[in-house]
Amino acid sequence: MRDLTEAVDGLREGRLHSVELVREAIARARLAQLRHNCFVHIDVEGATAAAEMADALLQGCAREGVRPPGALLGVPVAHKDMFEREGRPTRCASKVRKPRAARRNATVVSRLDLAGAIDLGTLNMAEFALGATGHNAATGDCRNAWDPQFISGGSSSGSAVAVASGAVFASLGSDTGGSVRIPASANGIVGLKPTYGLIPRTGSMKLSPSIDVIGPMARSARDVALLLEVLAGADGMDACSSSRARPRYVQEVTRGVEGLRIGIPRNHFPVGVAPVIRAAMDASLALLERAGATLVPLEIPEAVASMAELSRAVVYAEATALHGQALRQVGARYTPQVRLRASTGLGIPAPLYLEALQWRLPVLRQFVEQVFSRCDVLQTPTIPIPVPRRDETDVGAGPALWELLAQLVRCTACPRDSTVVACRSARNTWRDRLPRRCCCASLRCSSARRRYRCRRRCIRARAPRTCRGSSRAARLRRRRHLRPRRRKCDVFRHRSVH
Amino acid sequence: MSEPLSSTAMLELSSLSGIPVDDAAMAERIAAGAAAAVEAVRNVAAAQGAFDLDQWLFDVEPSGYLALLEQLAEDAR
Repeated sequence: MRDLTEAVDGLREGRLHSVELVREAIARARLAQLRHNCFVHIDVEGATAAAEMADALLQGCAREGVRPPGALLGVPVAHKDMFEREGRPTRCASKVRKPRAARRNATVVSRLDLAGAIDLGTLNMAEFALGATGHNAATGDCRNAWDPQFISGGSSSGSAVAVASGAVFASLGSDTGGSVRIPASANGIVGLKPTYGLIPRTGSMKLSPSIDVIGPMARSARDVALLLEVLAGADGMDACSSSRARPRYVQEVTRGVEGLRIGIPRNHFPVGVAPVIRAAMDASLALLERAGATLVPLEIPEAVASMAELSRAVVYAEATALHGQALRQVGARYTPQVRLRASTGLGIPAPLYLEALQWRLPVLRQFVEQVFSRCDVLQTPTIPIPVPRRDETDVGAGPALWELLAQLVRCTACPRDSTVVACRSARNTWRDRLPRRCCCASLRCSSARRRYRCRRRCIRARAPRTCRGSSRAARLRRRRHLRPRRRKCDVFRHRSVH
Repeated sequence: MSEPLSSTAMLELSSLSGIPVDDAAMAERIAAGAAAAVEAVRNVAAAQGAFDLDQWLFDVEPSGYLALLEQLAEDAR
């Protein structure tokens, strides 16, 4: 399966045609929709028409001998159902809002259009981005791209599944407490939570404006760097977007990791990490070390343990403030779980919310000064446990559910960080290129086969008991259990671990 | 761990704000979720006990998160 960069190069060199790519994408999207429920809307006509125009433009440029405009010309992408597209309703995967056509494009949507990307449609998500598992009682659960029995992760569930299943080359998600990183990890793709303020949020749904960021998702770190170059930079409308100069991400991402200091936390993050995840992390560290990185074991400041909950105080308070009027007027239209989460801010006193906003400044400074004076990036797991099944994390799953959900978000709820597949790499502010350099390097070093074996071990750890053991029957059952993933193993070509 | 608000207190808050909470069970779950967040703010405050009031009053700007991120990036160069 091609990645975004390969598709862009193929189109420019005339080896590929956008119409063919889009036709293939539509077929895969329909299949993915049936199996995984990852789309809300597939725009067949719009995408086909745009692909024909892109092909005409590419052919014209080839005739004239000029470089085609737009970094993503002719490649199909899609985005979470929370970014406005003129003339199309944005539902936020909910039945609360009346479907009303948007009157403008979100800045990120306009930037993808300007770069020549073809919008294949909108993707399923957790209702109002309030959920980390991919369950959604309003639009139907989005299911894992590798095995529909397992969760897709959320809230950008459809964004991850559409990329992992090959329906689109890249997608947009949003991240507040792990909403890009968790589904990216659960589906084996690359997702980035950029530094706050790097990508403008004009025209995108808010959950917690003090923390929300928009994040690109794709099949390789190089692809994410390409998307970041298109998306980053102030738009003059989002007061919280930075006009700070941006580096050339694509150029930076291929530089390798020689001399890079990778911090290995001794406390907080390693607690409760499942052995299979630990092994995958160790394997990726060994690869990075072999590629020239220096490993630096270090202690994380105690305050980090409270940072996750600190950010939760901000998210809950702001979410309740945003949804307050709708909860009063049309509260019954919310699904019960989301209504509960959207109401949690009721129990957070206003002074404590403001105090949380105040505290995050000195805590962040302390964290950066203590940790990033000693290393350039931190390696931590994204999800410290094997991906749970959907029934384990459903509302009726019993008391174990809460512990499982807490584990799911334990490593992603800290304020600033980014993810490289299953191993998350947090980095200093505005150094968004560093984690992807690590990811790129580990990909270069590890063979696809080794990564595939690693994935098989993870799946086997989650396989039903009847599949375990060495009897012939168990082997056959295991083979059946692994079959759908084996067919898709090339999706994991660009993964660093798992 | 501090005690979560009682369901009665949550129902009163709900009535005060006009944001409906169906019953005591829902109120209890909201209170439990909020209690963990409130506890975290208290924990951070306890861990940073030596923080000077002057800094709060003159230096810390709660809306200065983006500016701080930019400044930290500059410091790191």
